Amino acid sequence: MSKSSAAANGHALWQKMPKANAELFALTYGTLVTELVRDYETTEEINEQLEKMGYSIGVRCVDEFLAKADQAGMTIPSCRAFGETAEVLAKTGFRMFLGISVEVQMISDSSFSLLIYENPLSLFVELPADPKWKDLHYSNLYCGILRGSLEQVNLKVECTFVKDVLRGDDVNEIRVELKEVLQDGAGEEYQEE
Amino acid sequence: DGSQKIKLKLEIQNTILRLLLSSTMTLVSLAVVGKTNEPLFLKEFRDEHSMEDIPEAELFGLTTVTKGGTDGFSTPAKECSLRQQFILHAALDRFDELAGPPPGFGWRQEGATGTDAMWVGLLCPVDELRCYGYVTTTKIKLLAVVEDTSTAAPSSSNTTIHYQSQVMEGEVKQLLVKIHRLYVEHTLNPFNKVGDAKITSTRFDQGVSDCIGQFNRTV
Repeated sequence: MSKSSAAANGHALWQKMPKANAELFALTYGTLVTELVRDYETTEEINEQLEKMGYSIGVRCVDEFLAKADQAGMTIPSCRAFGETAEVLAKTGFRMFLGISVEVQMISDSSFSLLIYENPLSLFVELPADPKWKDLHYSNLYCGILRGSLEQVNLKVECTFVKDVLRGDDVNEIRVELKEVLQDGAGEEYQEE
Repeated sequence: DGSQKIKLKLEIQNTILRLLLSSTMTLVSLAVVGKTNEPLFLKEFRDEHSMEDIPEAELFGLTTVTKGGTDGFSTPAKECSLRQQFILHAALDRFDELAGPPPGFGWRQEGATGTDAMWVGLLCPVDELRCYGYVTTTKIKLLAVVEDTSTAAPSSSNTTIHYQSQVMEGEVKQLLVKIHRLYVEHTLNPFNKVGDAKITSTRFDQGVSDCIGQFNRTV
């Protein structure tokens, strides 16, 4: 799928999606994170919880993505290379759900980086100065979403935040690495003898 | 001795510069005070060549706090000298008179909305300083102490002085509106406790310094 058509698709799908207030969205996510901060003690646990939540969002998102695209009459063909997956994710997926444009930087055949310039989740956020918050990945939800959605299309990936605007870098960077391509198959109970 | 001469020369140069500018207002200190009059943010903005060189802390025999203090209470106190704190506290009493008991809000004109309704105006003049006030609908008070070094001759007609002071008030009002906006953005941060906690956000601090730097340069 060519880059420009991915972007065009993304834009068209974004127009059709129902919109929500950005401030409400950011504030809701903010209270979610502060609740987690109250419940868990270490930043690793908080990051893990955010990732798990993102995972359950991701497994549902991908169906919606493919269905909406189908309804809109655009076909999203199977990706022939991991790079195409990256393009579709960045230009169509993120664009459709969040309305932001995301850049792709290929690292190798099996890993790429997504560069997010404006993050709607962290609209008014500033991490407290305390050094223990240095390891908190505020938008770790994204990592979970990517992992969940790609797992549903048989790609097992690992996502981590490499750079974060809230910690002083100039851009948010998520590194996505392909671990394995899963085989389509029924579970053990349903295997034919 | 050489460095003292240079310092003196700089002071003279700065005073001359100030006198040359016909009307200058510099914001000396700013305070954000909560609903129940607890201080949320106090900051002083004296430039380094100010005439008052006596460090108040030593005057009163108090020990100076080290810069790296983690205690939220000691750091703001160091950044705002005692004299400013006295002035701000006194102005707060005047504020209570105007904004406090019913009928309250006595300065407000009929039908004023938005920032017009929040702007209180001149609270009290102290020496060469004037204290202005601004209260939000959630009873958060913003106080600004401004030093007015305008050299309007005493024989000027009343209208010019009145006009000048009106212009000044307008500028101060705009500044306080900007500070209000910064405060709102600060409360929207999910990590900050709202209401009665001291404001320790660097973003707010930086924003305030920028606003005031701009104010002091252009007015």
